[in-house]
Amino acid sequence: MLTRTADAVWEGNLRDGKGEMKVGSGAFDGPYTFASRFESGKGTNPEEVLGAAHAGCFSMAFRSAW
Amino acid sequence: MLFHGLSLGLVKAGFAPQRINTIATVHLDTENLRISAIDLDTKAQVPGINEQQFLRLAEWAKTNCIVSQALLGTEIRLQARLVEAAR
Repeated sequence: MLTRTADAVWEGNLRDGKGEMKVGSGAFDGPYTFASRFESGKGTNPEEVLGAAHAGCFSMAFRSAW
Repeated sequence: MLFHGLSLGLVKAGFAPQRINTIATVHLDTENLRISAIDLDTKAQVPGINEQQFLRLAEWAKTNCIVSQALLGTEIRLQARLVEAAR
C-alpha cells in the first residue's frame, strides 16, 4: 500500500481569499483563487489538477495494454 | 494484474507506441457546482495495429485506469486517434 499526499491551504473569504495546493513530492505548487477556479483569473484550480491526474493515469494504462 | 493486448490476441505483430499524448478536458458546471464530464483525447503512433484494435485497447484503458475507477460517478468520454506513421 502506497500513500500519496497533497496539502491545501485557503485563507480569507471565498470571493477574495486565496489558496495554495502543493503535492507531497514538491513537483507541483500552485496558487488558486475563486477567480482562477470559477472565472478566468490567474492561478490553478482543482479541476485542471484532476485532469492532469486523469490524463497521466490513462496514458500509463493505455501503454500497459501492450 | 495487467491486461496484455498481445497475450489476449488483440495485437499481433507490430510495436507498442513510443509516445502517448492525452489531453483531459474537465467540464465544470458552475451552476450546479459539479464536474459534468471528463473528456480524454489521446493519440499515439503505433505501427502494425489496426484502428479497431487500437480503439479497443483505448476503451479498456479508459474504463480500467486507476483514476477512472476512482471516478465512477463521473461521465468519462474518450477520443482515441491512431496517428499514421510517416513514410
